[in-house]
Amino acid sequence: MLTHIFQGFAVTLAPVNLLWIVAGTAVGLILGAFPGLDSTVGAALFIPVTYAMSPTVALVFLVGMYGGAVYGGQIPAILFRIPGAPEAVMTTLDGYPMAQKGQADRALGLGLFYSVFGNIFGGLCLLFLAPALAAMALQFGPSEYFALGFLGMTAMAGLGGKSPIKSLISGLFGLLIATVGMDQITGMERFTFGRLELANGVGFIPVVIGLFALAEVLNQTVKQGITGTVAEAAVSKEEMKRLRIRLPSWAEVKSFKWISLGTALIGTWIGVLPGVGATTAAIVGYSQTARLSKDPEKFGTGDPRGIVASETSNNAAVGGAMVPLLALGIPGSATTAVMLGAFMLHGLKPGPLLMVEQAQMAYASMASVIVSALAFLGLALIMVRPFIRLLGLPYPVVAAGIVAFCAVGALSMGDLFGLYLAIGFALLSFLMDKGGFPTSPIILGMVLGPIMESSFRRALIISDNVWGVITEPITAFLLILSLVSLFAPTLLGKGRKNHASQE
Amino acid sequence: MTIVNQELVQDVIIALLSLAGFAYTFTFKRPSAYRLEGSVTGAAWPQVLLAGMFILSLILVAGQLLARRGAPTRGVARREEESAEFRARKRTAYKRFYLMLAALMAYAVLASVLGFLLATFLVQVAVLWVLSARSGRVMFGVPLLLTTVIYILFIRLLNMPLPRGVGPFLAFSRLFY
Repeated sequence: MLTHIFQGFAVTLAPVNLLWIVAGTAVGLILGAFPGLDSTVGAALFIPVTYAMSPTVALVFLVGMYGGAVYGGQIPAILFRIPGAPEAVMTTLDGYPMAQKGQADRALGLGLFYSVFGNIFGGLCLLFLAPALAAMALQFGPSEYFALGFLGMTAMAGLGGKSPIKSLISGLFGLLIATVGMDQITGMERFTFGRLELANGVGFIPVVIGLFALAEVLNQTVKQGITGTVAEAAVSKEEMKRLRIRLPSWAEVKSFKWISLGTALIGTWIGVLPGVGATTAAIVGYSQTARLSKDPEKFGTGDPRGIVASETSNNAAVGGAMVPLLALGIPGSATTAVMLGAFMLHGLKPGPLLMVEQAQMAYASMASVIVSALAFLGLALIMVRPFIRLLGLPYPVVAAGIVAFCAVGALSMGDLFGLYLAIGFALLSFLMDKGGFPTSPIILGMVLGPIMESSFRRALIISDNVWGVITEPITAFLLILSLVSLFAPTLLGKGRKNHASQE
Repeated sequence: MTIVNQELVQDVIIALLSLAGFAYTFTFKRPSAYRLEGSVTGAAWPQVLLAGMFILSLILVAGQLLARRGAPTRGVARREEESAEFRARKRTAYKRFYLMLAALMAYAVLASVLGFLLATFLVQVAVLWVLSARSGRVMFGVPLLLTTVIYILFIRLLNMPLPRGVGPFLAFSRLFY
């Protein structure tokens, strides 16, 4: 395994690949820093750009962008109290008050340092966990793969949204979209409505672009119109011009060692859970740190521990989320679900076989998680002021750019139907958002659909009946785990509410 | 309409669509060459999914009906909370939303007629206008710059096949790609 790891780093550090990681990280940093754009939108927007790249370059570019975007969200969170990306929502609670107290440089430094730490921790776990998990997954048959897909769907439903039922409906809708077109086994046409464009199924890129990028423009059009607020910076324009990032001292690093280690573990573990990403990791990491501290009342008032907890856990989730993606072919977050689509567009099938057949590429994408952390460390230290200036771009200009890039992406399938699809899904996403239905499960459903369906049908052929499929030991275990992940958050939430009302 | 009513309507719509989709699966034609014994047909999996969606949406409907008792007061209270100014802003925001949607739809239609370059330039002008940018430099400069960047990146470097338009617009597009 060590040989593969060294080979992975060698590939990642090759000049061309390194250049693309830095480029991806820089793009991710900018996207993450812009409110309304995040790693998922970024991956959706830039998949068409990766067409011309080799699969390895495309993957390291996207991984770099993922890491950069998760980090980038904290800059406006600290300076403007607006999380650039949802992952930075908890950083806002202590980052902005710290900046108001005149400690913006320290807050940015802590955020950067612990983002790098979290990313490297998650990356190391990925390097050692994914191969072990993949080796185990090599023993899996169709029924186990079906159960794994089911676990992915239920984990996202149970933990990812406010209403598990609505998340499940979204997920089922995603699985349904994946059935459009010709059935791979029987050749039966399904939901094509006689349209030739649908015979090969619904294009992944237009759907992703519509659901995430174009929908965000529609959402922001309404949101900005209603609130009409302009972000208030915590520091003056003059101070902003002189602003630098002050990395924590050794004494500070020592004092935060348990918090950072604990939240790195939490972040990685939550990232590994299929369907749950960095935002949940940040929320859990922050709340657990506050709960276990002796003075929880200080959190939210500009306590540096809040930044450490939030940034370590959300960045550790990046590596964690890639564990199920690379080892099992099951995305660990919305962004990795889009990345799974990118893998497929480049003719790759993530999962245990990728780790065996394309080991160099698989290890290179793992190593790039760690390298991207070092890239955004360097980029942030050198370019923090230009990045902050970029944040001053008015939203209409950003929106015009997003629409133009979305159009290229949607048209990249070669016909105008992609554009109609993207606009249709953007409207659907807007309506779903209003109705409280999350859209990420649709993407998860779309990428897991073909695996789940073919596995289910093959398992049925082997076992002859459903009972035979679900009573296979590993399958049964995974299905029970799915039910636990679906109902546990609701039951635990009810338990806590009862406990609180009794108190 | 109260929030509960809106959600109830949307949940009922999902239930009905799932049911309609389920019924539609029975129109799928099985190719005559397909005779693999012991396996399920291509319609079975969508049927499982649609049945699941139907059952889940019924659970949501039931939940909404149970929550309906105290709902009218919730809706009234919410309306009273909203100030006149907020309501006016909301109306304007939704007007912008419809304009944005119309611009995007017009773009999809115009891209085939005007070609990618012209249509993309125009849609960006429209997006900026809808979002209240009124300076001529921003309204025309930004689209020109972004269209040029996209032209160099996607058409010149990546050779992406993008629509060229028809008639005189086709001739215009051919000047560039």
